Amino acid sequence: MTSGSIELSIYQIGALTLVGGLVMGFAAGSSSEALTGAFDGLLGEQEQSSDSSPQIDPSEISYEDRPRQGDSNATVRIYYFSDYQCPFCHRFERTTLPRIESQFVESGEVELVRKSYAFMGQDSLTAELASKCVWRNADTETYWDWNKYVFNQQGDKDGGWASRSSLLNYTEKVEGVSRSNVSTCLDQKRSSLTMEVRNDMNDGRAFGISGTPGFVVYNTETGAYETLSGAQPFVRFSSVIESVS
Amino acid sequence: MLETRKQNLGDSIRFVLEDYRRMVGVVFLSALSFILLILSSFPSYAAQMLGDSIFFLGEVVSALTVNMYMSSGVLGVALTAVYSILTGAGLMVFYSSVRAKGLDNLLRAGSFAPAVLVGGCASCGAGILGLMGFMGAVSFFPFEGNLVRLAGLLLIVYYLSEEGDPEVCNLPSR
Repeated sequence: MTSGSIELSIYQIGALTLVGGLVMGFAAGSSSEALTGAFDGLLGEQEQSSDSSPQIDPSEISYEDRPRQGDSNATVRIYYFSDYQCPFCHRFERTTLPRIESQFVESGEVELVRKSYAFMGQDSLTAELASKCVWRNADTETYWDWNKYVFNQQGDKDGGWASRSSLLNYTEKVEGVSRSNVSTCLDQKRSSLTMEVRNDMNDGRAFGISGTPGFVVYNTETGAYETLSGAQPFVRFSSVIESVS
Repeated sequence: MLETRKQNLGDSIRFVLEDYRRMVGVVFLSALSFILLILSSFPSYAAQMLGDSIFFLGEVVSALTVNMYMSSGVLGVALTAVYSILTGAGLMVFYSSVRAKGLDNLLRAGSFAPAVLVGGCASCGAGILGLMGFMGAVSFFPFEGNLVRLAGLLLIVYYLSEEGDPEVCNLPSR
């Protein structure tokens, strides 16, 4: 083998690896049947756009039946886009969310609405569906206890910790919600809840959410809003809430 | 031929290590490279935080490094770190080569560019692809993008083995 051909090979390997990775990613993205559900909504039918301006008004973000906490008449509503398998979401849940709850949600200033953004892996969708089932079968406090419990179990992506059976086991350990009710819900409402996850993700994309956790901080009276990306510290949320208020 | 490449690689590494000013330069460039790669893993987050205050830099870098560790494992962080160090060394050799041998050598030294592109693209893939609307794409990168990072790393090693000591005119390795 000549040195010329070796040189070519090395660059070919590098280039092919890069191109291969991209092609695999984009191919998965363009296949609406790639993954029944999760990545359908994620990539299959999405309207790809790099335009940073939102394609819908914040008042059009789907809200009914979404897990939430706080006064529904609060001036500020935070839409929180999350994936149970996302480590950065776990960071937000541990560090910033408790302060938002104690200082803004409990005081009635802010209503927090959780939106599904299941993009990290197969089990992301399973966890989102279970989450929606728990919301339909428990009171608000129990739901958020369950949400916290699940995040605290976070492990490797698609490593089994967010499988259906694991999620049902967690449900059993959280007081106030029935395992069998959640199990039945997962069996009977899978299709409609998957559609709900898809709608949540479309809402996020419409506001340029490009990573989780992502937020739309929206003043329900004036229509003013700002978006936040990632697990930002409480001071940033405080400043944005003040800014849109 | 392989012997020549091994010797060139050794010469280029020796070149950056034998002078403390070059070493300081490499450390600076490596740190800069690492920070840029880490920031680009979640660009919208980094831009919002740093747009608010540059004093968030430490928090952003540490949070995203931990996030990379949680997403790609210790191997992902290690590959990014090694890639950053080699990028720093490669940039120093590239700069010295152009300075010593002039623009005539630019084309050959320019083989460094694909290496930076490939490795850099892997590290920033999640963030940049996310901005483009392809959020799930990174999930399908081989080994969470680590294989692509490795490819970039190998390309820089290849460049260094091609370049050798940039202040010495080497016999061609072919």
